Amino acid sequence: MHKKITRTQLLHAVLHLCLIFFAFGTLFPFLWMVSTSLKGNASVFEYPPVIIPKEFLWSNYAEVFQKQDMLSGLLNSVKIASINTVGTLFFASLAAYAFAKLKFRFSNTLFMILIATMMIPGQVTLIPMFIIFKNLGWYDTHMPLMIPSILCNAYGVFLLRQFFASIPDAYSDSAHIDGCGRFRIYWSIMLPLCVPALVTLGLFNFMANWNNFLTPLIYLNSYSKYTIPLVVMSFKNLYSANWSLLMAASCVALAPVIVLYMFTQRYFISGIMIGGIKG
Amino acid sequence: MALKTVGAKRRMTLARKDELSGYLFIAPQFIGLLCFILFPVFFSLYISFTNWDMLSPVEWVGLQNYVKIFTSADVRKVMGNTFEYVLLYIPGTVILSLVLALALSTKIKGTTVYRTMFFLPNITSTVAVSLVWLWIYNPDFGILNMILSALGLPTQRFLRSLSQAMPSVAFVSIWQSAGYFMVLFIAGISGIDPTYYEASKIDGANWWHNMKSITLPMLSPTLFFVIIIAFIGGFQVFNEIFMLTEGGPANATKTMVMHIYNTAFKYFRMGEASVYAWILFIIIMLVTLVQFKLQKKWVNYDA
Repeated sequence: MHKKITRTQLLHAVLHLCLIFFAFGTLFPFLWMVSTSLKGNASVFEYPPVIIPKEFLWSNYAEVFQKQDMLSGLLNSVKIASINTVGTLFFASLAAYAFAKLKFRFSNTLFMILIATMMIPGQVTLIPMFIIFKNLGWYDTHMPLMIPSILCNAYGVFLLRQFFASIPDAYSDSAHIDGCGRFRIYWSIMLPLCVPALVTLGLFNFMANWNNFLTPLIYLNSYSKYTIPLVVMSFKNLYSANWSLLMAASCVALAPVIVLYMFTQRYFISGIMIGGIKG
Repeated sequence: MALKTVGAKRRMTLARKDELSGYLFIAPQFIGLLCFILFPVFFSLYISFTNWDMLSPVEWVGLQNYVKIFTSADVRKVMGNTFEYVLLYIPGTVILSLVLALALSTKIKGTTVYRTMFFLPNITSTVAVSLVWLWIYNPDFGILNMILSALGLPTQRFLRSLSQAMPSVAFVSIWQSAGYFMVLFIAGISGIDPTYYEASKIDGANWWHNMKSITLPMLSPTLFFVIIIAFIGGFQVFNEIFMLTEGGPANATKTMVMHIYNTAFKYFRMGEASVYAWILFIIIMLVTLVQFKLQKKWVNYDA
């Protein structure tokens, strides 16, 4: 049977072509990164360039792990990002619960103060904090990357407060009658109801900590303390012309985050749609 | 009677318990706020009036840092560069993300897959992706120049050219952030009441009419929000600059935060760097306020 192509079908086909073009453009740098990371020193500079190398040279990856402190960088980043995320979620949700459900004097004023501080750009506090932490003996330790991040997350409080506020009081009232303390109500009733919001905030927090560059750049000095972005930076400084090695290092730095994103992307999208979280 | 008093007493203790737990629960955030934001902000203001250099004893120098900065050519150069970057970055990222969002808001198949791909660069480390962009832009062996020469076009210097360095950096930022703004626009578009489109369909309006009279006006709050966020983020650009050009060539891409970083952590002139940080702070505040004033004129909040 002969089918006539409708105008909509034609339009959609054109649209698909445009979108595929843009998608290719968006993904090309990643493709090129992987491609270069698998090439030998000679084929890197080959003209015309090939996207899929004739043979895959995995030795670049072995070299990446032998050369700099790539492994310790990964471990440091996993440690910092995980502890910060768990800490942030705990303290932010605790405050968010108090602001949403508990009645105490000045709670609105205090909340407004907390929100207003979100407008202060990080560069203003960067220098005084550096001076303070240096005097505390925290230079070249992970403390400056962890303590402020765990204790200070106005955005997290803001986002989670909205979630707690949307939970009907009926859930906690019965526990209240049973004589549960406020912390018990928060921990065993409210928190489990907020899991989707916690996952979203946690993922964004993990990524932000993983990708954070400026703070480790000013505080960390020894290679063994470096986080992943600093390891990548040190690769750039040490092996500036060895492109296949540099691309392999970038791939290693990006892989954990991209894999995590593949499994959780709907949380990212819904997180932005709900609260406009900055990635 | 007795029962009533017990009830009242119980309620009172509960209210007091609430009060106590409330303060206890928010205490960690406020300790953090005091130690890591409020105190440092005032401390930063103090530092800007001193000759703090991490070595010699700290001396109060009054307005010396301010006078030095406002009479130097540095500040104009750095501000000019930052505005150049922002003026390249904002229109680029807003237009690209809006176009992608409009395309993905049609009844086309596979929108989730496209969305996942367009958003991907946003979650990746700028430091790591900057390396591949350095490689792509490489004047001698980079693939961009290989493509240009294959097309018979003259090769370019990109990041090493005075005029092309800033657009090349801005392009990387646009590539990385467009997916994020696209998601915001998709959310905005999906929030538009479909009855508007049904009504205009009856009136026989075409795609362009819908765009001009429904989609864009109804999207103006999102557009406004996106522009503010893009400005605030763009004005603080650092990672791309640090990795791609370090402010070069010949300071052509030295932006505010790059300059703050150099002044504070390369030359340890903490006082001067703090003045720059305050200039940055004030500009961000002013633009946010101006945009909030202007929005009343052209933003439609009926959506």
